[in-house]
Amino acid sequence: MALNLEIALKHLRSRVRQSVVAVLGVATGVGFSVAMAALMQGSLLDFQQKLIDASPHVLIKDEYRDPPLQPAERAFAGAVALDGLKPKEELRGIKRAKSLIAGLDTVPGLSAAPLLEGQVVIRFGGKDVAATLSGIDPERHIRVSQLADDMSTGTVTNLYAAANGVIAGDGLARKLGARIGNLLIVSSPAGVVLRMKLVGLFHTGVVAIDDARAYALLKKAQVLQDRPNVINRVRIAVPDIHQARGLARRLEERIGYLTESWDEANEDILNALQVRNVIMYVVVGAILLVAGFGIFNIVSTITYEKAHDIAILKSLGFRESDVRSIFVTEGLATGVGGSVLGWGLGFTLCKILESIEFNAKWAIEMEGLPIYYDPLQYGIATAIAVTSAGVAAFLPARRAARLNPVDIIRGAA
Amino acid sequence: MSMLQAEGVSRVLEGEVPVTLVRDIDVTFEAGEFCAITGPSGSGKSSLLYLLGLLDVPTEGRISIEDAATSSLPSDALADVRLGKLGFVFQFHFLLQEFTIRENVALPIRKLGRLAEPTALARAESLLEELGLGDKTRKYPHQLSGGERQRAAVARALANDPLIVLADEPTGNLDRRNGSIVFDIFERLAKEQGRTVITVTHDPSLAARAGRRITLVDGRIQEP
Repeated sequence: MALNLEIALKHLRSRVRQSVVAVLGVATGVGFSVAMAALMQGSLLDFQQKLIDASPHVLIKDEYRDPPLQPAERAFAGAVALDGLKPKEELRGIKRAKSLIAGLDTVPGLSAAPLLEGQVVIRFGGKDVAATLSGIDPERHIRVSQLADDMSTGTVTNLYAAANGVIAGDGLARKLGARIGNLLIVSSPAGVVLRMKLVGLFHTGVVAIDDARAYALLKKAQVLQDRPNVINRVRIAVPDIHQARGLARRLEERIGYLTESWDEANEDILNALQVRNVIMYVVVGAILLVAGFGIFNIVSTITYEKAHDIAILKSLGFRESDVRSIFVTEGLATGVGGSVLGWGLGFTLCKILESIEFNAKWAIEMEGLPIYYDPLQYGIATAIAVTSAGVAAFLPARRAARLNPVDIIRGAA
Repeated sequence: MSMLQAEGVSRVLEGEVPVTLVRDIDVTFEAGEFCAITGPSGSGKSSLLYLLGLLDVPTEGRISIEDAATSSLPSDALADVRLGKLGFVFQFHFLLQEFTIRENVALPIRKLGRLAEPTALARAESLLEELGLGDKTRKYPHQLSGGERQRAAVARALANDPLIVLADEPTGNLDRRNGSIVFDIFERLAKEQGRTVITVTHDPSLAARAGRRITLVDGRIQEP
């Protein structure tokens, strides 16, 4: 094996330029795949983290996933069809919310907080901005959200300090042109208008939240929405976010209300990210495929040029498997060499991408490209590169091993 | 016990028009025999040599080495026989350009694996010394003259101490002086070392130096 390896490496060294080009082809593939994977994974994790920080892990809503069935439909499923029904007007809100939250409080590790969310229009200095106002219990709410950490000015408990205090996203405050201490006029669809004092600003990094959300005490929100003692959301935090979906499903089965986990609520965005990852891997795969063609090309050329060597090696007593292993080794050596170079290239690209600063506001605010360093990215890229190199080299190697030495020797004579 | 024997050996190339390379060859070679195969171009000299050297497989008949038939051996076993018992010299030296001549000669020794690499290289140097290339062992093939390259190829053929040396027009690319040197070596191998040397040549004067001469015409051995 050592002899075959030595012959393979000497073959590659004898064609320095072509070998270097093939190695660089693999290195480019591996380097870019590492950088792309680091960028994609980094942005996915960054997005997920911001989403998890900003969204409830589990949210119970005062809605139902499917319209409730009529008793006759429940009793004679499939046999009864009812048309022209006028649904019963029910008072919106989560019923028996206190006992529900008390029950959730008994589950170890879980934290739950009630909310009343509703649309409002906030007016300040002649500007009207629509927003979602969440009535919260600050002490409970900071246990189920990152709001305390997201406060850029003031604290959540400032809500207690003012008679009608309100905390707004910094984007919303900017739109209004409001500053801390300003009195905002907040009106709800119920026709109630309150003058509320801006007592704090928060910044989550999620533009949709920062630009259109505000918090007030639950009691104030209930007054504003004219829904005394009503809550329409229960926000739950779980110790392990990956358990959120299962918990949401079990809760919904038990209480009937629509209960969504953070990933279910953002499924469309997460699916889009998965599609983006697939596209990324296709592009990287294409790069490595092209590199594979490069290896195929060089090993084919070497086998063609080294036909005399193959003949003499076989006449000396080298087996077909030896000849095959020599040329497969050439491909693998190109793949391994290119991969090692590619690690350096990939790492350098990651560092360059990481150093790029910008201030972009899309769905998620970004100040730079999030890069996630993971040895697995290097391992996967190397495995793909070395495998494709081996496959690319195997075909010409097999052909070389099958060459009849007599034909070559006759041709050379 | 014969060293090498061909019994009823024929080789036909299949095709729309089958081509017979050699036909009904019956020949036996003994240890220490130096034999020249001669004949006109296209008479099947090289084809017979390749069959005797197990590089080609007869369509009929059988080849035996030390009375052991080789016809049914798989290609890996044939390769092993070539490695351990046969040595080849061709008209073109076929030295690997990326290796020094010392490394070229050591290749079959290392492949056989009986000697460690330093010992294999030492044996290669010793063989090259015997063939007058002692001062050029670390040169690459392109740094040698044609005669020197061919002598290096002979050294490589002898690397594993083969029982049989097969040479196909070994002097074809050499001038008369270098051709004579190669035949001197062959004579020594047969007489002094008891090896069987079979060489194809079209040069009557060199063929006359062999102890035995076989003439092929149209793929058949022509009786004297």
